Amino acid sequence: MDFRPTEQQELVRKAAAEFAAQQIAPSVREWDEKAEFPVDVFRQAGELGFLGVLVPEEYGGAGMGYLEYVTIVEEIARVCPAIGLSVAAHNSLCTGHIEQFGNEEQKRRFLPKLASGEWIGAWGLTEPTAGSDAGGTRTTAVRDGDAYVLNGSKTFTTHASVGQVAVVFASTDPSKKHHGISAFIVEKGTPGFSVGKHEDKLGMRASDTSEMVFSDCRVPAANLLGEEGHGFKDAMKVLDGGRISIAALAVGTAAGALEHALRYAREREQFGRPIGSFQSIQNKLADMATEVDAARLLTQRAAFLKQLGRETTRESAMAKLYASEVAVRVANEAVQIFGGYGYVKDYPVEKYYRDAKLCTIGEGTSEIQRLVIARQLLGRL
Amino acid sequence: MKILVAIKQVPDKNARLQIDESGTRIVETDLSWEINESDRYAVETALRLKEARGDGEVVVVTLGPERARKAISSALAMGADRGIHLVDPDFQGGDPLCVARALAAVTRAEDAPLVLCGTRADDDGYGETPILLAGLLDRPAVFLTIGVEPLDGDRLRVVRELEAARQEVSEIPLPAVLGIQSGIFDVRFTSLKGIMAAKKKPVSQPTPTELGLSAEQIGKAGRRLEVLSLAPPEKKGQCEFIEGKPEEVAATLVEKLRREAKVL
Repeated sequence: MDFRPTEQQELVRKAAAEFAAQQIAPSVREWDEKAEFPVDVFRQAGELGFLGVLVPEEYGGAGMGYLEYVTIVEEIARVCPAIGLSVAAHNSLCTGHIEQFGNEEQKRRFLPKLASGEWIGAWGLTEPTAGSDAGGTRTTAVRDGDAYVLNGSKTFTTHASVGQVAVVFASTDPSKKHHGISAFIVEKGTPGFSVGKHEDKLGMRASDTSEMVFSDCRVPAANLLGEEGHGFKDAMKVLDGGRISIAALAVGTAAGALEHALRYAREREQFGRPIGSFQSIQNKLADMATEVDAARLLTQRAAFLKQLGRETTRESAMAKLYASEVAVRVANEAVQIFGGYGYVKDYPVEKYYRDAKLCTIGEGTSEIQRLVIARQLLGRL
Repeated sequence: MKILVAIKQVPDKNARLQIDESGTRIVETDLSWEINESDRYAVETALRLKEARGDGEVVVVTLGPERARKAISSALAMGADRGIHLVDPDFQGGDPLCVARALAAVTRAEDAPLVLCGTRADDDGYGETPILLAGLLDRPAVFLTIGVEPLDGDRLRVVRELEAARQEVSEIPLPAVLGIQSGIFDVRFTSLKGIMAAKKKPVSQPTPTELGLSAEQIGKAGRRLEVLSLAPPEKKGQCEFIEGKPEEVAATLVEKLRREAKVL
């Protein structure tokens, strides 16, 4: 067993960290306050390969592995979790789904544009009445000649308003519940496809989260992604990978908050000494650092096994569950260490506190992760 | 045109340095490393010259132990074509003249008309390598270079930074050696494609013998300069309150930052 990063992984970490420090860090607060998604910076991330990390080179991607991918998400999230979230969602969900389940023609058509960042991708599974219970999907797709007609809406979709293409789940056979769900690739501009409400969120405000509405939207049958009725099954596979990236997002969020807390503990003086010299602060920092490392190791294990092509349902869920809960705890303690300054926007940690919470909710809540893990442990009783 | 870029691997700018028991070296355990700041600008300058001419080769060379290989990989990921790593133990532990002798031998072996170096290393800060190298090669040298433009024939137009932001423009013939200043433009970001491509680029490790160097010209054996001790800056708890109207306070502060702290 070797815990050392390879030279390639070190270069990737440096490349992502440098990009985040120079292009993202100066604007973090402004984007958060305006709830503005920085399209230009995101496209630039695409030019550098960060939006097609896992896509094979023949489809215009970087052709790298999961360990490199989680490294990139972590380094970007360390500086701005919201941009980290967008990078994770773009890579794993829309792009990842087409890469894993698209046919050759679909891959050639969509992957190069997604991998380069020319197009931004969305992935719509959640509905107002179907979140954790995807079987409750009400959006329908009815075959009509050489097209499917979609009706319904998708909520809480990352990049719904800024994206050019979306993978959308709709029921082609409502009687079969989640076995009747199919996935479709829908391009922006398709008649009947519109963007609904833009969510005003607690955190992750620089990442676009909006609603997608389909009203007699005719999608060519050629855009059916994977087999009819396999949408839900495929989505679960996509989420096995996606959850590793959310774990990496959580690790980066926690690491960023810890970094600020460490610096503050060295600089802030009370009673004539740096507060880091007090044991109560040291205990907090020691616990935070240990938890961040443990979360990172779980994330890297899941990434490593995924890279080997192994099924990682349990490992992905464990990494996602633990890392996201750590992100919330560590960001909370960082605010505590900053005291009053942690509660105001002039200092960076309140944002990590707000951003971290998404990690325990998005791509499956902590409760769903526990359910997934328990089912893996016990089987269905 | 072949451009040779001499780069050095130095401790990360944010690293917290500790001095070892001998009192003459820093502790390297757990230290993270990077390409020296002005050397990155030298690599960027070389890549821009190659792109402007549409042909040529950018070769990076570094002298240092095994870990310095990562500095070469970083430069290759930025776009350099090939690397030379002077990793042989006999090369290590020398003074700036020993380093310049090794680089001069590489320059001759490569027959490189243009050599770019960073102005100075962020760790030991000698700032001697480009000048010593030019001397050994009997070439013109320009120090603190902030702009390079190829002219017709084998000539370059070179802009040099002087005090108080004044500039000197000169024309020099090739072959030449330039010391490149940092902060002169944006150094490109490393792309994932660049990192993938770097894996396939060759890195050679010539020995002193292959470069026609004897052990006493280089490394520890050739060293004539000996470091006696290193020390961290003394901690001074001086605090001075500047009194007066806001504009006077600001003017005094700027003056002090410029004259006393020398940070402006």
